[in-house]
Amino acid sequence: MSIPLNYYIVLSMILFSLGIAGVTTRRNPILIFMSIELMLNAVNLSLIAFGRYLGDAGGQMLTIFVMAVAAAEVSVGLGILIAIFRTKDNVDVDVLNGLKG
Amino acid sequence: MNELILVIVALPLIAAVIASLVHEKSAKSISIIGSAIACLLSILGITTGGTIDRGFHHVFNAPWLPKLGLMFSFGLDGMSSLLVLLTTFLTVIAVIVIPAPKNAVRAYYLSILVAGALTNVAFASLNILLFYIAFEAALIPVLIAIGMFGGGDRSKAAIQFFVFTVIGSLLLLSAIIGLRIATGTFDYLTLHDLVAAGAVDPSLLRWFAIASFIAFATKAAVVPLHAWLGRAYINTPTGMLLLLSGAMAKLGVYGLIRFTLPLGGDFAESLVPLIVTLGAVSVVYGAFVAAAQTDIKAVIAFSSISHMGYIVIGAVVGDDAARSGSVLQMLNHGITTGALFICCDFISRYRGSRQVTALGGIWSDSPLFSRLLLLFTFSSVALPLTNGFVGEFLILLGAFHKFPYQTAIASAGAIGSAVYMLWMIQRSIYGGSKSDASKVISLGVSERSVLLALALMIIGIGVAPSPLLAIASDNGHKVGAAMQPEVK
Amino acid sequence: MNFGDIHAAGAPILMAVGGCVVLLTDLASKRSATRKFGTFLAILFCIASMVCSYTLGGQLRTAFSNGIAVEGLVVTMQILLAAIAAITIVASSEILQSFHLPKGEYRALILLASAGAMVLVQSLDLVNAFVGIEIMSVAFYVLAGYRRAQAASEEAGAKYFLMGAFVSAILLFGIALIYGSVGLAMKANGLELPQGYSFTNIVTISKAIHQVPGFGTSPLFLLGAVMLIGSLMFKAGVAPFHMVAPDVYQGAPAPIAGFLATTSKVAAFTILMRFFTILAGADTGAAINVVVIGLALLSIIVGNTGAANQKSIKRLFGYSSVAHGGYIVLGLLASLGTESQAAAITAVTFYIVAYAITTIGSFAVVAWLGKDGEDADAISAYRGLGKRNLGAAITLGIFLLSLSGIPLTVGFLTKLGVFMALLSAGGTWVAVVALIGSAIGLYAYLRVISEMFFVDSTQQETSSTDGASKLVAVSAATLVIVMGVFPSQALLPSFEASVTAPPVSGDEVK
Repeated sequence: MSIPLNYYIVLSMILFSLGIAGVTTRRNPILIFMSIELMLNAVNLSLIAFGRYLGDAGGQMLTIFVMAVAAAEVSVGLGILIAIFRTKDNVDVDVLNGLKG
Repeated sequence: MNELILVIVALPLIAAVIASLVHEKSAKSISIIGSAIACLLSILGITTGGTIDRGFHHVFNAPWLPKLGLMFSFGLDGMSSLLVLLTTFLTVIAVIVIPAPKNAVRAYYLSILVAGALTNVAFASLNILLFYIAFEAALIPVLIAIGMFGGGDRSKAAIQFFVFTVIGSLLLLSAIIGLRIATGTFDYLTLHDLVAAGAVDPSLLRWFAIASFIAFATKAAVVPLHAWLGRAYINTPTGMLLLLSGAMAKLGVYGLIRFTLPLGGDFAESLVPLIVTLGAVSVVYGAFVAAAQTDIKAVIAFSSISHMGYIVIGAVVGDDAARSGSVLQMLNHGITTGALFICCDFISRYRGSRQVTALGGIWSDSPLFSRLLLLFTFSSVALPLTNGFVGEFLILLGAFHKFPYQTAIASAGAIGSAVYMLWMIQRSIYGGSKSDASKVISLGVSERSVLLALALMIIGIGVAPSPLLAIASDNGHKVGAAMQPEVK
Repeated sequence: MNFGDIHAAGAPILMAVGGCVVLLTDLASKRSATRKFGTFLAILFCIASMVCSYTLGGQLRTAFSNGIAVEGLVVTMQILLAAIAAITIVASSEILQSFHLPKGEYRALILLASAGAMVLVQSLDLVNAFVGIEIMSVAFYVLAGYRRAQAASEEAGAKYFLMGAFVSAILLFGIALIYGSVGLAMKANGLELPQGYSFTNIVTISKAIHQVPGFGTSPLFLLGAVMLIGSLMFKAGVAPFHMVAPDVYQGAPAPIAGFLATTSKVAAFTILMRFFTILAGADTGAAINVVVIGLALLSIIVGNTGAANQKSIKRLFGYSSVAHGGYIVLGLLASLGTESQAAAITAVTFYIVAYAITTIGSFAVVAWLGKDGEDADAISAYRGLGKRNLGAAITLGIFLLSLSGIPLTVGFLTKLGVFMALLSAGGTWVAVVALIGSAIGLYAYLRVISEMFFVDSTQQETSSTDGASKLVAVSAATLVIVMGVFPSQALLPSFEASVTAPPVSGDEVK
């Protein structure tokens, strides 16, 4: 007995919403970043489920792209955050308040 | 001679470019030569000639951006040729009489000549988008002149003036685009025919009427859209003020006659009582506010709201005599107010103040100047035998039988204004001098001749107005001659 | 794959290769020797990329299994992107020098970001679009935070990165939902996947929209489309995702800010334009229209009011870019109507090109007037500029007048075009709100003009030596006037090419 497509999609939507909630409520950039990763993985789940159900390789292919891109983003993002940590000794987003007007 | 208007527009522009390149000393003479030739040429514009198309002569067409429907199409009728003449004339005397600020002579002349040229493009344009472009682009030199060479409050005055007038014209732009989408053309004559034939959606015309009325009423400073005027006029350098009050404010009334009424359809007709009422309110309001001023420049500025109120009434009542009077009065107002502002500039330059309370003694010090000033004031309050009388009389005559109450209110306002103006001039020129620092106002040859010429015009038009009236009566209603029977 | 495919994707390939070559040359040689050579090399690749785009002509051609499509519009935008990259590299050489920032990486990043933007512009498959947008964005994050020693720049980078990554995830979910909904709908209705196209291809989506009844209003698709449109709008800096744009532009050095503002808009709006062409005339209910109108008006209002009382001129330009994004979205809105589509695409293309020139020029003035490696950012620094440096004041004045849409500058024609398209699509009240917004914006720009020309100041003459920025600013100002008076001579040839060959719609596979 196979699990219906809807279950996957609903699960992925729940994960995605959890990710959004994390991004909007967390103050620590690392945690925000982890929430974003959760969102990306929710997307991956839905892509694979759709691909499997449609019998189309496109979904899996896109998933691999997403993983590669996420890796690139992580490296750049962590670089930026470490640079901030060096100058401010704190990576809380509340300290990112120098630019306003 | 179809290129006449091109030459009239181009000459001051060429002069402006040359003047901004040469040494400061020769900038003035080059500006005078360029604008004077343009002024002489615009006399030719009054005479019928060149290609004639539906009531317009000297019709000229050349593509600019044909894809957008933007063409260099020009044409003159009596009204526009008189206004072009007025603009070029005011440009010349502004350059001759008013000295440029010392530190930026070239920029000053550049702004005046460009403003005059763009105003002329607007007056002569038969392409409604071209009209709009000139209408709005002409604001830039005025903005620069107010902001760079204006009085103490110049920065605020410049921004306020610009924002107010541009908001009005943005509405106009939306209506113009609407017309273009509905009819596929920006050409005034085609639009006129289409509207007259009832081929355009009335709701669009209603929007056009409202939007264009707001734009033009702002320009003509009709109450309650006059708020920019006071600060702007008081802070504008006199040279530019001649153009701004004398010529560019007329663009508003011109727009009402040329565009709002013919292209606004039935709804524009139904707006007329409102416009006349606002005009009457302007007359009274201007008189009251002027009476509260002690700065003579402010008095002239606010009395200008009164006069424009009259002109607007005459322009819209739909009576031939009143409309001709209104066109004539535009000319008169340009000449008279210009002359008054020039006098005001002399007073503040020699006496060091424009406050009525600080003046006095001019009558005995400078007899010629005082007598001329008195004459200009007579003209401003429309005493018989001056030009102002003819215009206002025709407007009242035409308006009275259609809108008796409004006209009565307007006349009462005019009388109040007259009394105050005369009293103010009396206080500022008679009696003894109240300031020690004051110098005697001595006029140079060119200044004297310009003021005398203005005086001659005032009396000339006042005594024998008929030739000008004949030209002024050719004010656009012939365009639709096929549709509406021509009244005698 | 064949030579034709490579040629069609040549422009981004050249930029990406250029990025790698510049980086490697920089590594392999001594700093002082590569300074001029690196710039030369980078410019060379930009020019090669332009030439490659140009030789493609206005003909529609697809390549890489229909993953990309090139026609006049794409060619125009790719040339524009390469030009922006080249100008940015030239204009920022002196500012980098005074900041003591590494140049090799900088040039490589600019080239790579442009390569990503070009991929995005030419992609026909949403997968390609995603890859392109990520290549562009990752380079952007680094560029925004490029001046590591300065807290503002670092903060701009971090904010841009966090928001950007978040939005990328939303974009991706949008793509996933579209992928699933298209697949499910075609399967349920027994439609064949067009030969050689994937489910994420815009052509396939178009087929689903136009052939499956009720598909355009199905919740799964609409959710996906709204997420896709919304996140692309963020990349273009449109409200309500605008919070980052002013921060980033204020924090980043001026030439980089100009680069970020223009490249992101050019790329995101072009792909949006293509996505909108398949929605035109389709029954998608009111949802997409409402979202687009809402975003556009919000941007115009937020951008113009935000600009009104700024102390920092780069922030002002940031808000102004939000507002202009709103006007471009209005043009896109008009492209949803089948009748106004052609006019709208023309107007949007022209708007994007004109906006790019104006913005690059404005930021170049900010760099030009900078002192000791600091941008002239405070608006109070412009007080009395007309007396101190008339040329710079007039140049900036031209840009400000163009941004406020005054006739005889290109800004007027762009606004005219968008409003004409919008009104012919029937968006009367939308146009009126937009007009009110631009009146508010007018005040913001006038305030700077007033500071420059109308207020006296005792500040000393600024002794600026940034010749490159000056050159860029003055030539951009000249273009703004020339295009405002005679657009036909300056731009129309390339620009008409994009109009005669409208972007791919689903028509050919119906």
